[in-house]
Amino acid sequence: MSFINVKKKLVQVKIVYYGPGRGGKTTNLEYIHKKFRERIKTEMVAIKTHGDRTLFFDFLPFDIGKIKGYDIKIQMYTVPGQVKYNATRRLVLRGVDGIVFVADSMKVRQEKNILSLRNLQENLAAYQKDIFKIPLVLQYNKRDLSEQGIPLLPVETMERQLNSKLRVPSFEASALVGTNVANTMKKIILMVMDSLQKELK
Amino acid sequence: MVKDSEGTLVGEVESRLEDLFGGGDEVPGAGGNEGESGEFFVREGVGVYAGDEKGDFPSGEPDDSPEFIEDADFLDDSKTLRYLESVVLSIDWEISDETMGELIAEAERLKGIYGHDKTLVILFQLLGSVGKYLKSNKGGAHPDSISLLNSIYATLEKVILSKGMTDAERKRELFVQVNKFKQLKEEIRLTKGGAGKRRKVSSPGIPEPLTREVVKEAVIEEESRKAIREAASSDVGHMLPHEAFAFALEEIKEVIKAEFKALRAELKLWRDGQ
Repeated sequence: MSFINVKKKLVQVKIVYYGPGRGGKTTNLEYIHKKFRERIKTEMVAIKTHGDRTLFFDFLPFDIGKIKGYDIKIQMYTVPGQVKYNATRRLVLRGVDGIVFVADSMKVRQEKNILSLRNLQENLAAYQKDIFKIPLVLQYNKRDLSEQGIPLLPVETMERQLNSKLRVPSFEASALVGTNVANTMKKIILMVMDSLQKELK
Repeated sequence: MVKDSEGTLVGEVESRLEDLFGGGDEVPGAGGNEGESGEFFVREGVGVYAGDEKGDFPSGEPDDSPEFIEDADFLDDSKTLRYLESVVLSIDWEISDETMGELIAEAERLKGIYGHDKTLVILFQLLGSVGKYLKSNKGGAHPDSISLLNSIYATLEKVILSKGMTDAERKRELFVQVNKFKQLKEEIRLTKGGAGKRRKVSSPGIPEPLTREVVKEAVIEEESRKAIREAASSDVGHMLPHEAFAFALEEIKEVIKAEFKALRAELKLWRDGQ
């Protein structure tokens, strides 16, 4: 659950971008950071390997200001998508309030998406969290690649494979270009705040 | 959800987010995988799923799942390789006993199907060996082992699906993979080398245990050398000069290695006799 300090009037929300390796999680955060740097006045922390892959996690914190007397702080993380970092992925999920699952639309990655979603479910279960209950948004990334003739999965197929049981909001997006990147983020923040409000009632 | 929350915490957050991030998303330009309306889809789900029939999750199966290929025509090479491809792709995400077991079994099965083709048999053997190494070492495996696995798979696909490939070209592809395999083996040996060398010094004369895996690797190496030698003798006329040179170099290296091995054995015998 979100960190709430009633005395200091502070609400801290943790959002994690999850998904298969090279799916565009870091690109989402980089786009937000680059595009809104002037407005959110923050720095992004990224620890990368030699091959430009996420080693530990990326971290983008920002404040959205005071609402109903509370300072709302959003902390966005990505997890490393590579094989050997499951322990890190699990660690990053500790205390998570909302998840954006960044699925890769490339046809050749369909198996990876499914495996990654199952992996998310398992890792959440380790913290007694249920994937069916936690605020979750699906993002079908890399839709722009069809321009280059790269075979993509139809969105209907991705919905069927990934979202037929979850039935959560989903966005077609291109993190590289910026399509639906902010919308995805806004949606997950709103869902987390909604869930927080319900829990506090 | 949000529209109903006007005046609530969520409503205020929404308006704040609009101030901060409004107009931030790029409108999809010309091209892109757009919907019929020309816009990227945004699907509103029902929020948090509250049903009780969750069943198998995620519910979808990839189109290349084993269930799907059961009906496949096994004479069609691209279909024969589909399951192997999906297993290889899934390994990039998670190395589990289950996945690696599937890979090893599939490599073995395909080795049987393509038993008449020496080049393919060796490639499947290489794939199986790297699979076994990954299965036993998992996260601690050498980082290049997964790229080698992908590279062997890509070569298999190329060799099987490129119908017009000459024998020389096929052997050349095999040669590249065998060299990569040997290089990785050497790197792994060097990584473990320090401790191994110290152990040898402290206990001279004790023969290194020849494990089943070492024997198998030796067999693969021997078979691949044989295949390369065969290729060199039968296809040398079709080779480019630098390829012929590379094959010749490989042969010379093998001769020198064999000579050194024999010398070492002689020395060992001599030492033991002292």
